[in-house]
Amino acid sequence: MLELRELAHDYGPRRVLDVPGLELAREASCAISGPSGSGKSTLLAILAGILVPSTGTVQLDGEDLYPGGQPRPDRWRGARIGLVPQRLHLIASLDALANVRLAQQLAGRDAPHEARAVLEELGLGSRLHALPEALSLGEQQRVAVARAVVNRPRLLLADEPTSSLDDDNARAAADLLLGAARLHGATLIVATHDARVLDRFARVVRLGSGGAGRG
Amino acid sequence: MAEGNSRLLVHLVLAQWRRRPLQTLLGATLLALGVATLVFIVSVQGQLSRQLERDARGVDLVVGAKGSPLQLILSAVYQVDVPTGNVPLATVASLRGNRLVAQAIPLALGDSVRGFRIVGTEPALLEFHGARFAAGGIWSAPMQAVIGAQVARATGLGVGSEFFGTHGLEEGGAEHADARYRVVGVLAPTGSVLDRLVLTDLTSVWRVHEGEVLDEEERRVLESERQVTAILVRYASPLAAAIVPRQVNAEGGLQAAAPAAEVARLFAVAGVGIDALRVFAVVLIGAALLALFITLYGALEERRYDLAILRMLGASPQQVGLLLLLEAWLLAALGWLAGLALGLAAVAGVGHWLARERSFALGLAVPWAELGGLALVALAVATLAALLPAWRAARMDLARTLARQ
Repeated sequence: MLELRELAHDYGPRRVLDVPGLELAREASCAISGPSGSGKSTLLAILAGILVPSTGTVQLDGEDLYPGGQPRPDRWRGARIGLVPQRLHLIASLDALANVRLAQQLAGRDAPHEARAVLEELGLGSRLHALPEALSLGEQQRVAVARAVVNRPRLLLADEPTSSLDDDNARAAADLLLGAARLHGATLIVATHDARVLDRFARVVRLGSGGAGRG
Repeated sequence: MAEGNSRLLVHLVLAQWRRRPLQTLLGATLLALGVATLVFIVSVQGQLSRQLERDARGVDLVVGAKGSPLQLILSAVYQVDVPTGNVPLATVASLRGNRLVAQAIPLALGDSVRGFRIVGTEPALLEFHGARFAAGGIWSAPMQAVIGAQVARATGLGVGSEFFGTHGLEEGGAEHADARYRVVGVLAPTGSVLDRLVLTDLTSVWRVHEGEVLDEEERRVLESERQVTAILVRYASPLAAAIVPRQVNAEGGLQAAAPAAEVARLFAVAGVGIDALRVFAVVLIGAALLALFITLYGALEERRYDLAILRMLGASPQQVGLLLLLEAWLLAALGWLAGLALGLAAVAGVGHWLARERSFALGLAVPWAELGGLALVALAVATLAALLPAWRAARMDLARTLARQ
């Protein structure tokens, strides 16, 4: 379960995010929408465990993400939270399998067969040793999703996953994330302003221009 | 850090190198050239100075014909230059009669065999250098020769072999058809100048150059005119150093030269060149530092998101900083190893050339102590170059970097 309470963030005197409360059960999914500058990225960074909020708390399965106002250790975060960044950022010098194994190893695990299985589940069984530059955008996205879910995270985050995709691929990407989150038992939060994706989510939190959220 | 993570970091470094092979090569090459230059200098200088010291050990003074004192030392002690001339045989007796002189060993040069000098001398020279026989023994009659280990190896001559001397100290001189020598002894390697000499008694050298003697009168005349090329002198007391050279120099046509002083002078002159090479090596290592820094720092912006993703996936700031340090350390190790190989190859090349010139012997002695020092220098250079990029990478604002995408 993911619980946000009285969450707010300020950059200097300017409040960029204000979410009074949000609860999401395990395996639930939610989209966060809003115009540019509405605080989507800020909220995602806070949920990713890499930005200490100005006020409020975030709890993941009862564990505070920022105990005592400090971020959790990197490895803790790596093992519990998966992120699919907007530009994917696969390590260009590593093949698909190595990119996924990297996430395992940095989280303190090394189970190559699991990394392989996750890629196969996502239809990349024949592309395990392809470098990112040899993969299509859709394939790269699947590798990024595999990397994010390989540690069976409790929380899966995706930042604008469809910004550069056509309609079919945008819907496919949304389905991919929803399917992967369900399969691995993760809570899914997707930051997007893409209407094609918002349709796929039963719950949408809309952030206003001042970062105020209403779900 | 866990072993698995170390392997992972090395793997990431190697992957990065594959991505930027030219920059990697530039840093490693500059470092390798700097290290190679230092390896070459240290190895050659160390070996040459040890060899010069060993060959001249126990020789307090060299007496020869007037001319360059350095030339006299180089020709008589190290056998690498042409002699300054000859001096009367009577000089030997005169020196032996001097109570300040403990030993005087005459040398007569003039011929060679396949580039190796034939030196007429006395058995005392062998004792002087602590030589032992690998086969055979000392000469007992004229035209018998004892050959050094390098001569035996290079020419294939052995006990019982015969050869003709050729005129002059270099290869290609006219052959003395009547100068047939027989090898009676082969010396075990001494590590000294003896290894590349053909030794015989003085009479052999005189006889070859006197030619056929027609009668006793001519023999008496020739014997009275006999000369030697140089005389190696060992003092009987420290006081001799102040007196004997002056006594010798006072005689017409003679000069005295002290090996220690001449070698010191040689190193003072050569030292300028060696120092220039050292400066060159330091400049190369400095350039390597700069190249390494530019490569790492320049790539930092490009790799910003990669590093941010590593952090997001669970890498600590220390691990990310260590990744850049490790990259520099591995590059330094690569440069050091390549520099070592290159430096030793250069030493081997020069050694081969010197051997062909029948000059000093230069082995592949690895100066481990100095190399350890060089490894530390390479490590320090790499650490310095990587410190700022590693610090910046470790302090990266993760949220801001990922938001800036």
